[in-house]
Amino acid sequence: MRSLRRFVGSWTFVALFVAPPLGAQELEAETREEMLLRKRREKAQSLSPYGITKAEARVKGIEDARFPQKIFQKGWRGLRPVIGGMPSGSGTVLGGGYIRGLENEYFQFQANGRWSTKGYTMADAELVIPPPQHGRRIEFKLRGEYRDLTSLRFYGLGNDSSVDDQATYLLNDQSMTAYFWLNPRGLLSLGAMGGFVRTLTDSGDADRSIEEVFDPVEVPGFQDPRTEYGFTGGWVEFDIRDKWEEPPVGIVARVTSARYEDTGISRHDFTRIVGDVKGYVPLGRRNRVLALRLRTSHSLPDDGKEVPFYLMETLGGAKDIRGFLEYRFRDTRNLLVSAEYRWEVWNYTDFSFFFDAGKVFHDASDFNFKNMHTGYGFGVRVHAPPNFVLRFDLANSTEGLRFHVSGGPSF
Amino acid sequence: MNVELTLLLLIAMPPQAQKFYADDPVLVDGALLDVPEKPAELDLSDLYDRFSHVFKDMGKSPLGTEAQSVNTLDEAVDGDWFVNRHGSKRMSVEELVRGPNRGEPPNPEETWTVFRSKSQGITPGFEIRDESGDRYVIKLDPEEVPELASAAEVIATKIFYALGYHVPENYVVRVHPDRFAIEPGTQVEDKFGDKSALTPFRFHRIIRRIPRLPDGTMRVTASEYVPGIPIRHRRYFETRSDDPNDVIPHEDRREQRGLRLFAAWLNHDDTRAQNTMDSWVEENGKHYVRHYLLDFGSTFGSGSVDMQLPHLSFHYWLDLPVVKKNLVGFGFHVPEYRKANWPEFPEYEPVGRWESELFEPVKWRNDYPNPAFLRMTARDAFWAAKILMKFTREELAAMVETGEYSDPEDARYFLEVLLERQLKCGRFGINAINPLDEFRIEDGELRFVNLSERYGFVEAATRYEIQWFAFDNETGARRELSEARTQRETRSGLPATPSAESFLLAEIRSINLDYPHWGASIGVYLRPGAAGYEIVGIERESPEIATFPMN
Repeated sequence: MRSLRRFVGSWTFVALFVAPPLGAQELEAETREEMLLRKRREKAQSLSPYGITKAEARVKGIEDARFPQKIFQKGWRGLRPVIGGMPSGSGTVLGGGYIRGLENEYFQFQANGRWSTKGYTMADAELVIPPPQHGRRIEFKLRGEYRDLTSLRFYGLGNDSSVDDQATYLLNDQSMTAYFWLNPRGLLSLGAMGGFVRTLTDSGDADRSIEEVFDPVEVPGFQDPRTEYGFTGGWVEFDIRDKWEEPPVGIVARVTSARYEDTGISRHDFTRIVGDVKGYVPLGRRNRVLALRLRTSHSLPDDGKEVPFYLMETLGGAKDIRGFLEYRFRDTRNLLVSAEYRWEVWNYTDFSFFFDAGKVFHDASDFNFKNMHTGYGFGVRVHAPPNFVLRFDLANSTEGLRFHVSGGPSF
Repeated sequence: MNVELTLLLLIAMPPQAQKFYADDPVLVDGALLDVPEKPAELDLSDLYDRFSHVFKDMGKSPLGTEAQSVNTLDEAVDGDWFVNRHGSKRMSVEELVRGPNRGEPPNPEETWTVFRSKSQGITPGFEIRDESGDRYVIKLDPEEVPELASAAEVIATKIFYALGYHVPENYVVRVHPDRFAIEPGTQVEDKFGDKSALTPFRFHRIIRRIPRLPDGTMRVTASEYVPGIPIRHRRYFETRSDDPNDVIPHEDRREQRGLRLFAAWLNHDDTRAQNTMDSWVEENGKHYVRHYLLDFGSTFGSGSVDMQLPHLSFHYWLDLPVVKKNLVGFGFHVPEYRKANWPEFPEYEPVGRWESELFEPVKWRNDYPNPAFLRMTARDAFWAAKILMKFTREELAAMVETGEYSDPEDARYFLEVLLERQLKCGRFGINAINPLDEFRIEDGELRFVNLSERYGFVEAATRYEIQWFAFDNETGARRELSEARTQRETRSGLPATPSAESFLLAEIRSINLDYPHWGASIGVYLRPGAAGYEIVGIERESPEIATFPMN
């Protein structure tokens, strides 16, 4: 076959500009131009539209419809369906909303209503100036929110809580928050926030309610169902990652502080300090990266006051110890370490093995790496520019296998 | 045309068929038929085109068959696809710098009237009419990387034009935002495909983030509408079914296959149907379709909307063998592109990801498989290589200057990489086949040049085995006139011929220890004429390794 090809190849001048006559009729041609003209005239007898196939036309129709972004981002005159956007563990969330300012406006405004299969309700409105866009250095955001979360999970306080003690509670809150964010040089970001929140807690309406499992006296805040908070805070972040190639490598460190003043019943004043350090270490080239995280949060009540259980940070779920259920561990302080070995499979897909360990605690003396709950697993991350990440994590722990589907990076 | 059909043609060829015709070698395609009705516009689906090429070779001819659109000298013909320019007739530096530009750019001191617009999307842009009535597409650089795409677009335009392709006139222009006026009724298309009235407010919101120069102007690329009536894209496979002049499958066209090497040199990863433009033109009362290349924003280190993505040009957008290796490699398999040492950023950000160290022409990949590129043979590569090697440092430097980099260091770095990649492409293409060319008859001798030696691509000395034959153009029969003779000289005296009407054939093989495949013969056919012999045909035997798989 190879010799055949060589033979054919060596006679390439066989077609058109060099083609030999096809038959007796073409023998009459005396010039190359005549031959070519004949070939073209022959084709001219059987011209047909130069188009696309039906299959391609169907795909083009979908492209032109800009599905799904036109439906879910812009909607009809800004009216659009909404999926998700409630706290983890809310079930399937659907809703509708209105958005304005997706392109070429001074601001972006949106208002949404959401309902979940667990019976949760949420409404929010948000104003962002300037609108989210690549490369901006400043943002002011005003956000109002109403949430009626009827069966949030609670497993008790402390690091030794049992999954068998799962209970639920209702949290109904309304908040108004203002954020200001400044990123003057890229390496340093500053943020400030302030606002107020009005809260109501009550019995959960699914499974067993808190008071059926725990002594309400041991659950700070549950006996004070209604109160209000004013809160202020800020954060500073150093981002010294090299971002000239994906994925960025280096270190990001953020310190956040927030002050909650109980303006209703003056029983739950506290200050929260959070430290979060993430390191991304290339293992040779950046097709494989070791990602490390250390995060700790300390909510410090004023003398004689306590941190309400519903404002305590929790561990468990897709964002921290992935081998455990959402809200699994809860207390005034926590410590989390995570490590991920990530490797590039495709430009838009990474795989990873991860290990998480964390604990919650009340006393500062427990701030150490003892008695950590651990989990490990395997994850797939699908990402696309500029910021889309869809994450699938299968994790294992002493409490079994967990599968998480979530948006955004793990850290 | 597949092998079987070609064979049929050969078998059907009567023994008395003449090999060369009176008008051989054809240098200009003068046989274009009139196309009286405007062909339809082809509007492709990006996704369909992408996936169909990833999972299937859309071309019909078997890999390894040679290009069909060549003349008896194995050269591309001037016509609706290609015009031999710097490769055959040296252009002056002034001509190279002018490129396709025949007029002037839109005057930035006059009013530019916007009559079409798309907002942010991937690349915001406008279409304007200047006061002379000429229409231009106005393209903007990425917001945070001034000069990146505009420089790439203009430099690539000059080079592709000099190589021989039909390209639009592209200019770098500095214009003040106040020069823009909006034609009543103009609409702007947003990234969702919806249209609304383009108001001055919207217009200024769209351009607000485009960097301003100290005098308040913006640097933009003005791309003039191509002559004629644009009918949009063509595919890199099959023919246009509505164009009688288009009788050679595009994947079997020499200039489309050779484009692979040019695209590799210039890192034009975006060589796909969506970046072609056909135009229905009229010349001397005859209408026909002219085939353009356009949109060179994704060339060199530019990715049009940002710096070039690092993996592009090293593997396809979706390269299943690479994905498989990565998958099972658990990170221990390092994709080739990860080994690249890019220039320092942000110092060289306007140049983008542009390197020559890791670049290998045969391993270069465009965005997704191109049927013409898959079919590039050693002969196609040789053709392209000898053209691109015609550019001297001074000529390329002058063309790079047209990119108008504000920092001379950017231009210097750009040029050095361009030159190094040129050498790699030249070495690859010229050494792929018996590298003899520039055959001519002087002083009763057939003379030629070993291009590999000329450009320093070979170290070991080459000897040439030459044998002369009398050739009967009517029957194809040939008769030995001399024994095969081995020599070092690149010339051979013409033998005495049995009759004044007899054609001559010289079969030349190059003997080089480093390149045994140069032993594939080159047949040089000489036709007797009133003024003596003239070269009428050059037949290059394909070497054993004639194709360069891209999978």
